[in-house]
Amino acid sequence: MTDRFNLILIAALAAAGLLVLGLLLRSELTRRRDREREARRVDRQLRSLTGALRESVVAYDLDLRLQFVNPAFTAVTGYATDELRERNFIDYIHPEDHAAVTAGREKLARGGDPVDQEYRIIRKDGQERWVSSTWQMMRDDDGNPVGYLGTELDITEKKRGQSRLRDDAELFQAVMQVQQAVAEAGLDSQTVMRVIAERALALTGATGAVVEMLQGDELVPRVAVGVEAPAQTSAHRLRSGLSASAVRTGEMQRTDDAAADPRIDRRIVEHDGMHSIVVVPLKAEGRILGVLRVVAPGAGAFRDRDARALELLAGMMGSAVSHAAAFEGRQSRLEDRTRALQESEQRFKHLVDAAQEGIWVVDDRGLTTYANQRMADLLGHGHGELTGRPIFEFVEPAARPDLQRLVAAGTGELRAPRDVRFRRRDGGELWATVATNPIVGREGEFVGTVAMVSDITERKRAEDRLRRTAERLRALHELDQAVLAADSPAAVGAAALTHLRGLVPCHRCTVVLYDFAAGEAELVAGVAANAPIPGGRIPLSEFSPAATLRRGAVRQVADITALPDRPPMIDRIAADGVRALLSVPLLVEGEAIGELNIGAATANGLTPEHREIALEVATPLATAIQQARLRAEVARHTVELERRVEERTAELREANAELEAFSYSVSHDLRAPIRHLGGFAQLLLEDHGGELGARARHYAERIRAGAREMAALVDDLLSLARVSRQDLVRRRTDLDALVADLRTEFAPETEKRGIEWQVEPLPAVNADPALMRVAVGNLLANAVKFTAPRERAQIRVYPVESDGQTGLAVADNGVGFGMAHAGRLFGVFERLHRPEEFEGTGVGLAIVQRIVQKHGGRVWAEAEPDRGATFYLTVGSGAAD
Amino acid sequence: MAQPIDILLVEDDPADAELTLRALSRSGLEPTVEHAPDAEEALDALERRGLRPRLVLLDLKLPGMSGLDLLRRLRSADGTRTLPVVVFTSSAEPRDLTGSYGAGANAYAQKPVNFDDFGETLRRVCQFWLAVNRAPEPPA
Repeated sequence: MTDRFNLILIAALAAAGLLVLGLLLRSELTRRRDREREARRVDRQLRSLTGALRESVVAYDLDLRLQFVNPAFTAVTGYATDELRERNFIDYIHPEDHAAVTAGREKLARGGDPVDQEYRIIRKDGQERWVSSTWQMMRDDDGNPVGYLGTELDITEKKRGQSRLRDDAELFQAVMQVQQAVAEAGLDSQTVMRVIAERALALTGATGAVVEMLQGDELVPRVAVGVEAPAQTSAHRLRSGLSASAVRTGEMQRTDDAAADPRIDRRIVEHDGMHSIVVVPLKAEGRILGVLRVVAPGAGAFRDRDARALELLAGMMGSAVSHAAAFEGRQSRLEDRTRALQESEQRFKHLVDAAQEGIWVVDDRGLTTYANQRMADLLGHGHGELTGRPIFEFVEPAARPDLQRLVAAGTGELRAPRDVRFRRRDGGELWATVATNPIVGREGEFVGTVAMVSDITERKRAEDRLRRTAERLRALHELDQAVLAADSPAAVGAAALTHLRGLVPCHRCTVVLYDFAAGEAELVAGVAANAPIPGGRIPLSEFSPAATLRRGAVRQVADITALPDRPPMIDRIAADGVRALLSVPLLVEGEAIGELNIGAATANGLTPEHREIALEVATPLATAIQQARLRAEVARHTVELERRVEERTAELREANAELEAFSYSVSHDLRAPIRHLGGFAQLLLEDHGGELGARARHYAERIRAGAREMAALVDDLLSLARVSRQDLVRRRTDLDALVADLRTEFAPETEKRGIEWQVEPLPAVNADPALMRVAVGNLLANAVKFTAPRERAQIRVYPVESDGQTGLAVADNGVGFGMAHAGRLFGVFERLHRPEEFEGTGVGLAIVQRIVQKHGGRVWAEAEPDRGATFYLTVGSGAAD
Repeated sequence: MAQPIDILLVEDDPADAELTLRALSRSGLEPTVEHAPDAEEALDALERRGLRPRLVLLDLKLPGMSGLDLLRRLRSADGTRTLPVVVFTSSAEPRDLTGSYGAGANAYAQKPVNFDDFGETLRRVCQFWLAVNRAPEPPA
């Protein structure tokens, strides 16, 4: 009976345990599912956030496996996302930039600040593009790095612009020098021509330049600089060739491969080996005076901008030479010289005023000597307003050192262009790339600087936006991580606010949850002036009507002090110094569970971008709070369940104690009446047998037999209960010795019957020796008992191994049983034979099974009616050492 | 001084008492037995009347004062400290066994259900302890 209660106890405990485990597992599963869903959501969010960006966004994990790219990235690189996945991180970077990019990434990995770099990428089609990038580390909530996030902006056009700007500055320098040479040389046309030819050589990288003047139908060389073949330096007739064409058409003539050009005499090419040739006519007042011819040996040596430069130089030379010729012819007149200068200056002004870039000329102290119209326009000043004022007046103080370097004294090469922030007259900013070139006087002394200024404000703004977008992405990512890691609504709210403060002006920010049932709102997290706001409950009536709240609308007030009727809530917030207020609902399945309030200290302090961020934050925040609530509920249920299990366990323990007391009383009290029945029946038979009739004696016998049976039953039940209760003490138990010992107990009967024992070597097991003795003893006793009808009873004991457990088998050639009844074999009071045939209470095998179960082992039987039975017994933890 | 007897049987169950007496009488030992149905009467005999049996057969489960309490009391008094006490009970509970020896029992025997075994157990126990604790020689 104790037995059955034990079973109930075990079953109840097992059921409760499974339930708790199930709940825990479920909550763990839910968590994991939620996380996966969150990850997908974050990915979707990233995608939607970056989908419309012109900038490329790309994320790698720490092993540089591609995690994410936006459409702009695939558009710029020309690779599909899958193709990018198969390639290495560095593959799409220009080989010359590998070292710099790798160094930048390693710096990041060591915990460095975000890295801004410009490098070239190679598109799938082989095209090279310049990008400006920002790389930063993505981190989880604990600050551990999880990957790299990069944003890239295609700046190829800007780079081209920069190099054009540099060209222009070079050209400008040349023009300035020519201007100066002309002014200094006066009307010495030979000197003017030489200076211009030398500049042409320097500017274009040509190996030779010749100025030939037209005399009649001959071109007479007047100046030759650089390498020039003698044939080309003597006068020659105009018949064919580029020079003839230039004179005839008045247009520049150019060949990039003279050997293949039908206009050019093959012999000349063979003779002087010049393959690139540009011939520019020198004109004055519509008349052709001659040509400027520049040559270089390699094919394709000149670029378009060289041609442009030569045209410009030729124009200046033509004008100067014409004046010189006139002067030389008619004796000098001061007016002529002045006119020549004015004309030249006019031409120069014309050129600079038409320029797309700002041109700014300063003297050696940085004072403006000239600024073109475009420059004045860029700064919002009138033409001429800049003259005489230091250039430094027009830049942000922080940019002055940079500018100082640009206009510093020097005679060297062009300075590398820099991005400088100018201040417009209206207070706005002007970002510009500035390329400068020193102007050198006659003695080689520094006299000033010419600066080419190119407006890049739009690009700078785009870069700023890009950087902000990247920061926002990272902050949102971190917020998501933090929010997911938090486990209570308050912790979720606090984590969200902590990260939000870096993104929006948070003078007073709160996370409020509605409790419609209680008609209250709970402030779960809040910060005001950088200090946390204590939580609390506020009546919902201080907000909008419940129905409105439930629907969840975004509310934004540019200045709450301007509101006509302010609810008490708003008054309180205003008293805290809030002017602009933004309230975003926290929506779960379309219903608002609370709101995220952002209060800025200045009126109109919340921009559309802030609103966008708040909306982005609200979604994961609402989800996380809902999850935290569900988790808390599960936890509460778990605690409740555990408490109930404990209660039940205590009750069951009590019941078990009662049962023990009961079994004690059974052993004491129940046995007494049985003893009395049997005792007195025996005394009746022995002392008064003679006085009784045969029938009365028979009845007394029945009483005595009944008492004996009942005594055996009670004893067996008690030992079953004791086995159930008893603690297991495992020891090395030698089955050989155990069986040998038990056999001696059966010896009186077995010797009389002549049972043939066949006992094979048996293993030792790790088991409770006393209980094993009971179990094995029962099996042997059964074998002895059920072989009683056999003339040659045979009992075989041998080792078995099954499912990694060891034990023994007891096989006999007794009466056996039908396997159909094998299921009842180990039940209490189950007997497969009539009691008249074989003695027994039907408890023995139940005890065996209980003992084996306690060991985590197994007992089973195979039998056939009249063909004997085999019982197998294995115990849990295998052989003892 | 009371008349010396062989055995004081402390037993509340009249049937068990009768079976015990019957079994002793059939045992061939023919001891003189006084029967006390509870602890109080046993104490009355031993302490007030100064009865000194050669052996006490003590049942554990008694109405009122328990067998173990009686045993402890005997062991704490000078006159009965060395008196042989055999616990004779239905219980086979380990705690009764250890409890009895702990309280100072000289032996512990479970009452067999079978009457033949019952008689045999009694005979062995009593034969031994009566031999150990001989009756004082009658005065010459």
